[in-house]
Amino acid sequence: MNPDPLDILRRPDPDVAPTAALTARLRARLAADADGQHGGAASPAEDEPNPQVVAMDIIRHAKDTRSRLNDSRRRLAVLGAIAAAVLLSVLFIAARRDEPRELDVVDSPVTEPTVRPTTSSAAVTSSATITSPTTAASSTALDEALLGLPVIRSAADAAVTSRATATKPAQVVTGGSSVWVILDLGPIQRFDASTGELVGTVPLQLDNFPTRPAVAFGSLWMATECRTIN
Amino acid sequence: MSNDQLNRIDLDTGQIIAHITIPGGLRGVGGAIPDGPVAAEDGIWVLSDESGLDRMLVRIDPSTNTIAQTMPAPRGADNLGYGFGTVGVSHVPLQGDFGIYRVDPTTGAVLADIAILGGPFKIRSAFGSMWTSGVEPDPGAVAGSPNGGALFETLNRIDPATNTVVAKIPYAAVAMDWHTDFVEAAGSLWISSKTALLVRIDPTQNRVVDRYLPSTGGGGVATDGQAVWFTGWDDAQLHRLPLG
Repeated sequence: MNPDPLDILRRPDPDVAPTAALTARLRARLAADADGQHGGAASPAEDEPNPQVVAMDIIRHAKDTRSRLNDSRRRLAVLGAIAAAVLLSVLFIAARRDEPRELDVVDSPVTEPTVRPTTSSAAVTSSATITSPTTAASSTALDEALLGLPVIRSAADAAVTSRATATKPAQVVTGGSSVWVILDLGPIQRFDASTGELVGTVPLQLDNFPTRPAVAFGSLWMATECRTIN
Repeated sequence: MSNDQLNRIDLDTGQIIAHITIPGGLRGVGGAIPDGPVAAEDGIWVLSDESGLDRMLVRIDPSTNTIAQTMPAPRGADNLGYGFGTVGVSHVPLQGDFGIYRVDPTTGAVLADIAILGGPFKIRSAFGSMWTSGVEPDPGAVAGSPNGGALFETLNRIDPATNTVVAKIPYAAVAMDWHTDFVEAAGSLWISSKTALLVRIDPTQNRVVDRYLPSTGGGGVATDGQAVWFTGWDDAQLHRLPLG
């Protein structure tokens, strides 16, 4: 179990008292030596420690104490940095959640047709149009500040059209005359590339964040966990 | 015992015409199915998970819908791509860096190991280069600056002749639950990102030239030559941007 680095601030350092005692002994011994040198009468007692040894003890204790304090300060600095990072992350996520939704899309409900529509126009006539953003996302501001990315274009100005998918669309590929949208957990929705209309569903049960399928040899190749939806 | 499969779906009818069981399954390092399958001239490649980190590269013959070739993948293999006559295999840093192996599809020999700092996650070929998405620190950050720890989704451009990264193109700040993809269309690379609806990169300048908002949470991106199709994962939308 690791000691709490804050303990160093809460309890008296056990090395302080011994060091003070040793310092007092050293001073006493130096005073006695001085008296002996000047008076010539006194001689060191047999059990008195050598002043150099005592001094080394003091230095060693001081180094040990400083080392422990430095270790504690390092641990406190690391803990402080971790706490600050966690706090900033929480604040960032909270700020993101509070941002107003910029997409104002009114979609007609998607229903699966019984007859595949004929291809006629490149326009996706029944879909909604994305409105111009009114505020920039905080991440976008970060992008611009750090990367100097170019000015944003409005999706609405670029004539982007949209339509709802059944659930969250993780992947999209094109093949044949269709746009295949792979949904989280499945299935695969198939839209007509010319009209944008939903023309069918492939009943596959998938994982979260399913991988992008390959389109080749006249087929769509999709990795799954084997289960078809009955 | 995993029962993961590769499903073949007819592009004209939308019907599932084959289920091909992959021995050992298709699970990736983190438990997710790795990116792939990928198409090559002679079949469909997948990365199996038959023996943990020691995976197998598996080629499916489209004329028989059976496994035609199996060979050991480089250790730590994670995602697949195909281009310039080699199978691109991203790898996790078991010993050194993240990176991409270029594997000879005939012998399984590793022809090159290209270090990528963070990632790589997707491997695509376009404009005579290999491209891979990853995560990098802010390239302009000054040591000790407040932004020194920022991370960005970054495209790495690799010269297949020298197997070196010739450009790093940051395009968005890394967001939580981010996932991204990119596709070539109309002379540009188009990226679906968590923090922008769509990002366009000019490969002649190796930089971002357009970003479209509002952000709807990134998903997939594809093209049929007439438009760029991309998905908003957060709000369950399929978007279409006409080209030209």
